[in-house]
Amino acid sequence: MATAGEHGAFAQLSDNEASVNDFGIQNQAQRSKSPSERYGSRTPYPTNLDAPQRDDENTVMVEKDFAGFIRFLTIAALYLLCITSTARAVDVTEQEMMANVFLPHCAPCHGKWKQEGGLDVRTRDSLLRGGDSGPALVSGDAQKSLVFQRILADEMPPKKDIFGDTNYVRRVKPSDLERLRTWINSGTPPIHPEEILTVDAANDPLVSDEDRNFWSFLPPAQPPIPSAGTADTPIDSFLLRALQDKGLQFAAEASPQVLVRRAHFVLVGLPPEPETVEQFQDDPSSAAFEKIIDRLLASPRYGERWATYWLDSAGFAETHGKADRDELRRFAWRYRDYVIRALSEDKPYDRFLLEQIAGDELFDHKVTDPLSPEQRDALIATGFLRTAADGTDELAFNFIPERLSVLHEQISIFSSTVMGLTLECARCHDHKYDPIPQRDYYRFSAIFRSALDPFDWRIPGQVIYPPANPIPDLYQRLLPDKTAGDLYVVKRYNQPFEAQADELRRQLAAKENQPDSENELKALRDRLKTVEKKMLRPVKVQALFDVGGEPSPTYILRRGAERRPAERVDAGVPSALHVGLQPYTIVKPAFQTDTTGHRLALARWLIQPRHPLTARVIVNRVWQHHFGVGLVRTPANFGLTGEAPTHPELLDWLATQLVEEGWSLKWLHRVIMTSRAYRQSSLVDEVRAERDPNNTLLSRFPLRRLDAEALRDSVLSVAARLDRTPFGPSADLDISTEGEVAARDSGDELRRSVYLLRRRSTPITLLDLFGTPRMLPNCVQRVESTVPSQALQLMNSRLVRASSEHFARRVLKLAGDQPEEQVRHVYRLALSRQSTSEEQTQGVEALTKLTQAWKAAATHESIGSDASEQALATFCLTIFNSPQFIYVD
Amino acid sequence: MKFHPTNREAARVSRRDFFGRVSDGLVGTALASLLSQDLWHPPKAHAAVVQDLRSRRPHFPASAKSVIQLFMTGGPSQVDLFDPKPALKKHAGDLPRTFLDNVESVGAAGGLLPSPYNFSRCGTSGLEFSELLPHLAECADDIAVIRSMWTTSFNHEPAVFMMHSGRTGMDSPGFGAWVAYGLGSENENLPAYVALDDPDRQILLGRQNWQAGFLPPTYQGTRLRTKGSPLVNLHPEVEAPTPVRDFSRQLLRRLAITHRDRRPRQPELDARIASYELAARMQISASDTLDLSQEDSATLSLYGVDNDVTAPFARRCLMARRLVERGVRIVQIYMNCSRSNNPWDHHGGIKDALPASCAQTDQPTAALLKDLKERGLLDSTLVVWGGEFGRLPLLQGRENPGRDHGANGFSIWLAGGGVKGGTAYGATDDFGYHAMENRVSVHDFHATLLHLLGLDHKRLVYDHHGLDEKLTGVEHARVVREILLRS
Repeated sequence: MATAGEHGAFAQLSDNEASVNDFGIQNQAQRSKSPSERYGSRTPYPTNLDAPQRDDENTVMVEKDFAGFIRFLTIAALYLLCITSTARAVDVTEQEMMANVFLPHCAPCHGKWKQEGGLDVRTRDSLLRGGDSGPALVSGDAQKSLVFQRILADEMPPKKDIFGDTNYVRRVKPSDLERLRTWINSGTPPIHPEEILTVDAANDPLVSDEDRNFWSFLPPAQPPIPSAGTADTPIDSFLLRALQDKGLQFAAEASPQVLVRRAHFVLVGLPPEPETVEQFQDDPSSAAFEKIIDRLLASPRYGERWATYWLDSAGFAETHGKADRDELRRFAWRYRDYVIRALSEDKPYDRFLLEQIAGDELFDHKVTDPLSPEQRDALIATGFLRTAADGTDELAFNFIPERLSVLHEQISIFSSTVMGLTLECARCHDHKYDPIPQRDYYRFSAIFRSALDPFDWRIPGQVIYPPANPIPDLYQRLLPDKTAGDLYVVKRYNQPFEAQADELRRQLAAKENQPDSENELKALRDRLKTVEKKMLRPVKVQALFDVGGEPSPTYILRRGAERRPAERVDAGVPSALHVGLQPYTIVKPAFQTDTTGHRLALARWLIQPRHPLTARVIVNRVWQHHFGVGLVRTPANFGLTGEAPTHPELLDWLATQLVEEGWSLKWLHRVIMTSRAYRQSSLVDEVRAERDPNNTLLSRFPLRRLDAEALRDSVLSVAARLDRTPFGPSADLDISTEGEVAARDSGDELRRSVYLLRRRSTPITLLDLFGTPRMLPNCVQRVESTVPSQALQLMNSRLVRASSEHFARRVLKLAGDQPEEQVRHVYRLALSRQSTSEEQTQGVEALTKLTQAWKAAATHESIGSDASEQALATFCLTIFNSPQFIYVD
Repeated sequence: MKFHPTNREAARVSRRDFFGRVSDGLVGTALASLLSQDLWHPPKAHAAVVQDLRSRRPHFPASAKSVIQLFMTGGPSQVDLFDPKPALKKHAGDLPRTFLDNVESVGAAGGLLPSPYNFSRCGTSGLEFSELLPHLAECADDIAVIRSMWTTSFNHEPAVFMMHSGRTGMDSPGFGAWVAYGLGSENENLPAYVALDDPDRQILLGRQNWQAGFLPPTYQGTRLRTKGSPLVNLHPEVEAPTPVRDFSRQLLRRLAITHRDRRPRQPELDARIASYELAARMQISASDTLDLSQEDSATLSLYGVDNDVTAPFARRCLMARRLVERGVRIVQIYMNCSRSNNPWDHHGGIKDALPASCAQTDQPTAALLKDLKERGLLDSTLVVWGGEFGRLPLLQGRENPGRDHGANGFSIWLAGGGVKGGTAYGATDDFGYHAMENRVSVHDFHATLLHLLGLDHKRLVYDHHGLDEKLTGVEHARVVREILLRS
């Protein structure tokens, strides 16, 4: 322990030979294990950064023979001394100085958007060139280098910009300042040419031919449809052979009632109207079933249903997460609406991806005004790339590590959703299983850094339309949209109408108190309304956009540590994905305003018809939502540790056909749902259980529980209290004193689950219990569970209880007070079928007994209303709880 | 499993068969949290992992069977509570320039601020406590203070995540979820992992404190409310008369059995029926466990349930004892939030707010240790006290002196469950700013907790996206054997 007397030496560096040696030794031992070993033969520099530098103050402190407190404070200096004393040629790299000093601490005022004093610190050359005060760097002489002097004198970064209440720039760490001194004194060595990596995917030595020939990295072949005598559709042909090999056939066709119910839940997430079922029972032909499918696909409810799945995979939420206050993304719902619309319109999947990946690069959005509906959609669509939880709207969380982690999550979401790859595993080291070297992670991240640039960051929730000042200043770009300034587009458009409206209002005011002016007043009011309707409401878009300018350099980070930059890389895609593909090629759009075209190139690369992953991944997920599991049972992982497809040829046939059918997802639904495989019964006989225990061969249709949204929406729909209004801002939530989170219930109808506010910190209790994912960061395959708290929720929650009463009133209206009729209607409405005679008997008996029980209680506990009505509500509640209601055959 | 769906007797047998599969028998169901237990889970083709809460053997004989973690959100000030620093007096007002490297809100930071509180040596061990903790001081010989903790973040949220899950992000499972995953549950009718927070307010990060992250949701903590109904929807707002309830339950059962019998070989349907039954039992046991009226008045006043200042925290401490008594594996207690949701976040108020936080917690905390000891439960119950970080020895604010967050060195303490009492381990520098001697990282701390529970932190792994995830991450972690009775 130090004695207090020594503290006078705090401020300055001390030298200590013993620790020099300690650290020197440690250095070397560490280096041999470092991940940079891979590049070792080509990198001539012994790089000290391999030392355990994770956090200078925290990790280096290991030995006990400590002379004093001073030592830790000066550890960085000791470290430096160690470097100089072992006389290494160069220890500090340009990359390190860029990543740890110039970009985070200086570039906000001397960089892309502003060059105060004429200085741009973003390259070594521009530093040497300097600004109005002369060269910022003098190679070999730190004392003469302005940048060093200014930082040392604590003049830079200026005090007013130092992290505090309003700003986010930090002081340069003393240890970094010392390393800057070393770098300058050793002659400001530039990045070594061999550390600037340009990767040629065709000849990438880190990826072998064997890697490139892994099944999911090769374009899908168009397999011939096997001839199987009894098959109804191509899908059946592919499935039947494997079934026959096991001595199995498809199961018997499900009953018409089961089929209609199944089709409704999967396509629209709501139970069928009893009439639909009855009609189909009268004419259960294939043609009639196809008609039902077509009608469901055309329903607005279809887009709402399938948007839920896409939003799961996109990690969509309407708050920033991370920070405790969980700030709202006020306009994020527009992206939800975009997805619903796109799916409803059957927007081709390639276009759907293109817009979501690079909508902002499809047209010059910064100068286009007003936007066409298509342009607006394209802009909203990039909300897809800004879904990750992101606390950088709070100054305290808006530093490089947090920004990198947002970028990382977004990459993780993207690669699992669109590519079925676990690219995120290569952040800190080469992928352990897949042929994805660490540098491919950084090359891929460089694509996104033109928009999510850790050194030119945009906080989440920024409004990108209407356009604001295209070159925001230091402060403005950190603040969320708080001003009305960005509404100028709307204002300008509205100007002439405003003038007309003002005039009309003036006239109205003048006529207001005159006698016999009723008709005139009415006419004026109507005209005013018409004019007001012509005016634009501000359309605000929160999404992702290219920030413009030259993106900051992307360095491979050793062990993923942001302070340990190594080689510099360019934007690119994993080089294992190469066979049969047009390479990733950046074409800078010829716009007035600056955009890199990085993501546009990514989108175009991904939507090539022969891309090995794009079509397979989406086909697999659609399949999964129909059959419970995909043909590849690991939908987010098509790599080596993922599962091989159970029916590879079927997968490839569907993938190639999807492209041929213009990437139409509705085509895909039709082809799946009209197959024999789809129309099978879900009953499991002994033979099937034995020969196909996990249903990998699809020897029956899987019995499935209603998922969370379908369950909630169905309860509401059966109770006739479902508000079917589409689109718009999300419905608010309430949290009960018990802690239950639910949609605000003001007695009216309640909106569909897809339109409820998605707050990360307070998920809706019912949905959460039944499997709506927490976005951590996204979900391409929900986990089904059967837990007692689900039973408590269905039995006791206000939503289900109130809905039972609504349902009972609905039944009363239809059936009157006849128990037989009541039971019949309950079954018809809730389960879309006729009750059996056994169920009739049981139901009537239940109603009788429940009525008696309520009556008996009424005398004692003075429960007011009609006992038979209450009995019916209890019966309805029981039906909502029953497996008959919550499972689909 | 063979089903004879039309035969009622056979159906009953097959249900028992199902129970036999997931538990140790129909009557005992000696398995699990009734609440969060996944009674049927589709076999994961990819990652074949255990997904239930059946009690599992630890890796090696454990000293502790349960943990009670008293989580002191906000960052209690070590130099005012556990880590006396006389040197601060001598250098009061000095501002060591190099501190600034790690002080964020420089504008507000003043010089070194000595603690206004006196410390004294307590118990036979002579462990030092501040005068703010008179009750706890009586338990000195049961307590091991680690004075050399350090963490990676000086902001509340990431640091709270760190202290729970070993990561600063929000999507990793907390310590409690790892233990539930590693050891399962010993109780019959209660969750394996319970969180007791302020019933009236949202604590910092809310339920994310006890989340299961990437572990199956089965292992997440269950928040039991310490006021009113302990669980969301344990009962409806308006309860139906008993005969109605009984009959509708019976009806549901009949419907479910008919449904199941027509669909043989669908184990999920058995699980669904079991879930109805277990939910019903849960309604009884959860309320009973948290019913403090069953305690005698001596116990109630020992904890301070009869005192307005201490009552909220005291109730939770007493409930924690009742829970571990019944075999709950992990109980986390969060402090109530009188002003902010970080009750120990004393940017100001070292002279009034800090004593107030101590007054709310000191007696109940000490009572918990004494009561556990008295009942012979302390040996098998590990009690852990601490926040997400500590505070700087510097002055913050002028009018109402406070201290800013300090992540480089802070104190936590452990007691019971195989911990060597009367121990002070590790040391900060002369000013209590930076952990110097025997530094203990959060990963070390977690490794130590797991060790006491019989779990090897290197072997407690979960396959997540092909990565073997551990609570202690990829970096080196060591068990702090120096504070263990049996090292």
